[in-house]
Amino acid sequence: MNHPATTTPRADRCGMQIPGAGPVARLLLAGGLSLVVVIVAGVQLGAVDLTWSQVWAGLTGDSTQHVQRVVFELRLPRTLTGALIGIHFALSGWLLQLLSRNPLAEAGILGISAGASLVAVVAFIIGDWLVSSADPYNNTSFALQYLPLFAMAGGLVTALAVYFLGMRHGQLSPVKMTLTGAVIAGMLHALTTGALAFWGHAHTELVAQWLAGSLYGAEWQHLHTLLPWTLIGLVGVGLLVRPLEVMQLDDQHVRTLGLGLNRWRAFALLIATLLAASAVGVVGPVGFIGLLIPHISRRLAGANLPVQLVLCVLLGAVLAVLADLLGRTLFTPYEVPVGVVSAVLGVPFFLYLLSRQP
Amino acid sequence: MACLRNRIATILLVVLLSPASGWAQDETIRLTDDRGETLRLSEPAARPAAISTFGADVALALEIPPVAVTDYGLQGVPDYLASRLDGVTGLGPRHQPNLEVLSSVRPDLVIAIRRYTEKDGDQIEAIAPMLALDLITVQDSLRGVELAGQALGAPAKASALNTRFLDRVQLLADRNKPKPAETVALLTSGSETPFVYYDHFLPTALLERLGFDNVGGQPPNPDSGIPLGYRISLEALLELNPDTILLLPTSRQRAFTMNPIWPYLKAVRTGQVYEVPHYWKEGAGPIARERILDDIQRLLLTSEPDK
Amino acid sequence: MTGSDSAIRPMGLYGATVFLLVLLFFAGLMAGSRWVSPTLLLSAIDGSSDLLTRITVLELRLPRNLLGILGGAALGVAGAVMQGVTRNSLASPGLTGVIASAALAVVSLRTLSSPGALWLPLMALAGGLLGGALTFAIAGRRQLQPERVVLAGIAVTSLATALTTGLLLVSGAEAAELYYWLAGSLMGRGWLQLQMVLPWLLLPLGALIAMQRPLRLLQLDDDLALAMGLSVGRWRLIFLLLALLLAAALVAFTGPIVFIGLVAPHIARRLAGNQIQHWLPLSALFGGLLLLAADILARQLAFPQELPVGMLTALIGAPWLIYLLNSRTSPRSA
Repeated sequence: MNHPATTTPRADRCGMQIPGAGPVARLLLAGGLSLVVVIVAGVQLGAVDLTWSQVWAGLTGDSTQHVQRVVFELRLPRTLTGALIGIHFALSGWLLQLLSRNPLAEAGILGISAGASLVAVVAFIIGDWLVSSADPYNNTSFALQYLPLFAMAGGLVTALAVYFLGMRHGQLSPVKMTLTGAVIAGMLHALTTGALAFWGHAHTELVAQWLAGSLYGAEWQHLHTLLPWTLIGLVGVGLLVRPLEVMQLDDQHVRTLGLGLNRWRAFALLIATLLAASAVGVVGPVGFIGLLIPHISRRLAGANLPVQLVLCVLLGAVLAVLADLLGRTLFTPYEVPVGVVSAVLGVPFFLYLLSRQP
Repeated sequence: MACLRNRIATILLVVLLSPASGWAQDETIRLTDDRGETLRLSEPAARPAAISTFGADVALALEIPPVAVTDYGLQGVPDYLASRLDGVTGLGPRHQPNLEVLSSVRPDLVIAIRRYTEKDGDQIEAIAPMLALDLITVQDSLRGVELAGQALGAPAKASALNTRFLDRVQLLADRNKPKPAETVALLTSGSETPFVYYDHFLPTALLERLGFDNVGGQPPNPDSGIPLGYRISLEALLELNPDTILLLPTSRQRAFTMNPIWPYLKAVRTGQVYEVPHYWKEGAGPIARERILDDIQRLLLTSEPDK
Repeated sequence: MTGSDSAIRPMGLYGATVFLLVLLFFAGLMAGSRWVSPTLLLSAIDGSSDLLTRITVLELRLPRNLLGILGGAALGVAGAVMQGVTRNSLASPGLTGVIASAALAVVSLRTLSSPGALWLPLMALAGGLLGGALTFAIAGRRQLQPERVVLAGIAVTSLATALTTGLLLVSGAEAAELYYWLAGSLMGRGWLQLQMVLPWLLLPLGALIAMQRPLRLLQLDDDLALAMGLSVGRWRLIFLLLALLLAAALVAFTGPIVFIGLVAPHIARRLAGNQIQHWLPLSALFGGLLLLAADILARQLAFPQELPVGMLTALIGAPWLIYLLNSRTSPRSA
């Protein structure tokens, strides 16, 4: 829920004034700086220790094959992909929370994660059968090569189903959509677990890793797959800022202003879905970024939507990269998937929400 | 002039013919793994990394210590190899081998289990040529050892391992032939929802070769190794009523006490229930498969006079 | 909506449901990997059949059917109680994160140590309690709007699921077994499991029967209940705890089974209309019916293997719920 900005400007609270730099600018600066720091850390830190000079050499192509590979083929694409999916999930959650006027909304409620998960599990399972049927020598099965695309399609189809079933009298009803989404997501989740249990005995952990939301094995190709959607999403969100500001007024006002409310709502849903589905397709479901980041950005930016937007972008990327970094450096050589780390970080968040209840 | 022309002709001839016939000194090892991919090694590998227990097993059997191995997470490296893998770099779990660590050990060959590395295969191959193997059936094991032997520059030793193994199987089979066929089941656990393995799985295939009758039956799709088995309903298990039950280790202690038909099974009443070690699940390696034969010999083939 | 259907006479309703239940019960005794005809069934009961049939019927199918009925009833009652005391027609063990948290607790126990069977219901209960408490606390104590509870429940469920998946990734070779458990199943649950779960199910049920009056008052209106001298907050807590107990204990033994706690009370309310004194018993009956039916299907559909029953309750329950959502004008209960 949105509270009007009642906080004093940060400069005053800190007891000092920085001439010329308003609180907003400093927020954005801090956000941007954190992003840069975190990305640099993501390239610098990892399972293998590298010095500064080695990393620099790796980036400029001037080092051993091993360092080059670690820096340029493993860490850099992984970090950048992490940043992108963080942006995707954060923006998607932000849009959904604004649309449904409910602070607990995020892409999972539209069944996107559940739909993508089911398709992914089916793809892994069918991958076995396709390999076995005709040609015993079938390299990386068709199903696995196009896994991101299939999973994204699964998420999109599910979201579409939720929209259509969530309409009441031809109009999108947020309440009904939420409930329908919950029911469909629950059903798909049960089907996914059942399918994996029944058919997936041969490589359960591999599929489970995808279901946990993992950046393991992220490469440049994933980045290229994701980038167009990021751009579409950013453009869409940019277009939506003004209409969203208007939508924050209650429906009466909006109608008198003659805004095509439903069309903008539908467009916002579309953008949120595209952002979330494309991200889930590449890394699997990572729910908590979309839940946490909009809250934090709202707290920091108040009612200023454009600033919230930018903060979501920055902080979403920061959280994702940070979560991934923690996951792959804490228990080397094991990796905790980014979905699990962000879930664990979500626990104190829930406690915080608890303490905020009236 | 003629000399020069001859020389040029010779050079041309050699250049043209060499791809077709192969240089006398061409030592490129060409292997086709279970994906159908061809690996080219310019010389035998001396620094193998294992993404699977098989890789570590075969490398140790051929006396070329692996430079990195995967393990089972909280359960660590397989017990039967643990003492020989002291100090070997750990890569993490087999479904998620740490690529940075793998890169840092600079392997020149990766011996991997195919069904866990399919998804990220190209990333592993960027580090070193990957020999991806199915490792499900006896044929997979024999072929895997052969291929590994060629890749590691010890083809004769690998063939010897295979021959010795097959000879031993034959010997045990002959010794067991006169006895009536006993039915046997390999279960993941004795709990309420047991999973039974099909006939093609290496340990059950060995049992079949040695004259036992595995109750798991033939797999639905003989061309594919997957699925390995199925979750057998207790009614079906009761009907099949195997003479002997072999249980793989599980974290649930005495899980069979929760199984309602347990006291009624013939194998339980006659005391023919045995727990087998974890390498039965991943028995394709030369050391593991010999140990499986040891276990079978010890548990099932010690002949009793009044049987 | 509640009064729109002319309330069906309760006796007829009970009669029909019990009849269906008995029918399914016997069908469950006869169906399985081999069909046991009625005459064979009789001979199994009186001991004159072969050992195989006797064991199949008496050790496998009989306790399993009973567990299906009791477990389904427990879930139905848990859902009905939650919906009644929060006056939120969407409260249910599944949607409030109780089932997922109980499952997480059990999975963590089984991954990190080798537990004895008695620890499982206790851990499940602890997990379910935490999860449910978290959901209701997040949703806000004042106006428990249905959607807020659902959203909070989804968030808690996602958290529990993510942590469960994380645990499964380190469980190594056990992952496949744990996943099968997570899909929910009545397979292999015999007299021992039934005995162990029985006190956890019967005691709360008994307590709920004993506390009928406060329960009915709470279902009506807070102010009315206060006027009648009921300390609303305390009773609400007690009833929620009892509901949690029922759901979490069942999860410990069968794995997570969703949608029954949501669908059964809805059917009960639809058919019983305004007569709230029948909601609970009917929810129990319909819950038992649903789970038993799903289990029989699970045994037969993938013959000779068994599908996890959680898949089937989801396939049955979800479309029904969507139909319900689409045929009512408001998701809120009376």
